[in-house]
Amino acid sequence: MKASTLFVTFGLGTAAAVILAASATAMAGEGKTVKIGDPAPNFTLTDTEGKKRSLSEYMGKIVVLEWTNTECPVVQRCYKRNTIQETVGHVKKLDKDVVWLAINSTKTTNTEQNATWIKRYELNYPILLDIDGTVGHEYDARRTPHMYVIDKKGILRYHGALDSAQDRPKPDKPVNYVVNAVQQLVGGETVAPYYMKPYGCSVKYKN
Amino acid sequence: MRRQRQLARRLATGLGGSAAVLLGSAVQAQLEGSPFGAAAESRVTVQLSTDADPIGPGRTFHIAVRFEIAKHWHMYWKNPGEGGISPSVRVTTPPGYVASQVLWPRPVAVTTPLGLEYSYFDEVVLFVPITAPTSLGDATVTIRVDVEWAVCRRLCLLGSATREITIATSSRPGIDGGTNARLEAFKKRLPKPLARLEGALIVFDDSTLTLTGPAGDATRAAFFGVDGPGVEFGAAKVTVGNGRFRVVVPVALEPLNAGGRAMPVGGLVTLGEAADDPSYDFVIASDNKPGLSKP
Repeated sequence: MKASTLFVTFGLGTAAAVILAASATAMAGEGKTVKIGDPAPNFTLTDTEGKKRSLSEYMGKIVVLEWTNTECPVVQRCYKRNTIQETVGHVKKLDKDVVWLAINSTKTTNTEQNATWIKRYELNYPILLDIDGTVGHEYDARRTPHMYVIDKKGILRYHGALDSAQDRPKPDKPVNYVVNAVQQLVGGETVAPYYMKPYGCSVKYKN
Repeated sequence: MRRQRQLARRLATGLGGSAAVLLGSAVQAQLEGSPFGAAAESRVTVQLSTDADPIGPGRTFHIAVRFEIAKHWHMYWKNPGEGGISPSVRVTTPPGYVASQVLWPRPVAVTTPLGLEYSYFDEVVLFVPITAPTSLGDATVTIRVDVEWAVCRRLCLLGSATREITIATSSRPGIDGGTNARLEAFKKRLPKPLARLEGALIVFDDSTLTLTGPAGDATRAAFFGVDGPGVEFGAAKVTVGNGRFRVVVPVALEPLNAGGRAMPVGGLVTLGEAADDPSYDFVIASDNKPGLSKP
């Protein structure tokens, strides 16, 4: 590792010394159980219509996972402002075969609650129930929403925030990281950023 | 301040597994059927004030955004840690006025099962520096502030508000708008630049940030990192001894996650526990262009 060192002192007699040696390639944002570049863990969960869905059945397609909680105000805001719905529409325009799966790991949720949510917002994708939190823990989903983008080979390429709306100062036009990741996958590019700190409610796990 | 600490401790210990952002049917009931954020607005009062009356030509003054927070509820610092989401403040000024970044007073660190949250209890005043144009008339100017926030207890509620403040302007150069004693007290809670603290040392290699400096009479210190694109802080080790503080914190930098943006490594060191005890902030430009940004 090459380390350049810069030593700076301020005038005025009251000064701190600053030594800077910057070069870094550390992997940021890796969860305990999920890593960018590794195969996304397979799962089988049941949707609100009782249908079992496995990640493996979508091999060959880009998959977006959205950890959600219909009782989370941040998720509610995303849906009321159409942020999620517009993101779904945008990625489908980039690649009509993109699969969008919402997963609810909230310990107190139930089928009816999520079915009502789908109907209320006229969603054209399923919400999968993970009430015991097994899949959520496996993916280290921490927030709602917490987004994951998986490429056609089943490799995890992005996880974290939906967008940059929580940057401070608040951006006029937030960057949508999911759209960005799908666009890069469609274009055959390296996904960057591959992790942005998710924001929202904590996932209300059973344990 | 004792109450603030008591609240922090109570939240950290008394709520057990529910200290962070917990949502249940109660919040759903509050949000359903009402304008979005109405419940949050009943728990936070937003007021504007200023230290300029009147505003002089070319003068930099402050708009103070005061959030009065309901008892037992809390809001978040610019980095909420593992907590909810931080408030946003958007200032709209007339042409010629330039608003700078929001100044944040020191927060309280609250330990939860999910990690550290960086919070404010009871009230917090955020300051927005604004520089007036060099030519002004004897008139008034109206400044608009749009704020959004999350206020949390066992659950989080989102709120928003728009406020305006009208301030007199003066054409006389060098005019001093006077002082606002209450605001001056809140300004003392703002951090000072660590880089100007005599005897302080900031050392950053590719993965570890070390901060040392005089602790004065303080027996406790804390570190608050500012997460940013491509910058992640690990758990900080903070010690105070022999009249000096020492902070050692792992930092992961990833240019790919910065999206072409700078990756400033910044944070805050607080001494003592009271809101008006000393605190010091810093920012180091580390985006593969070694250099120093003054805090």
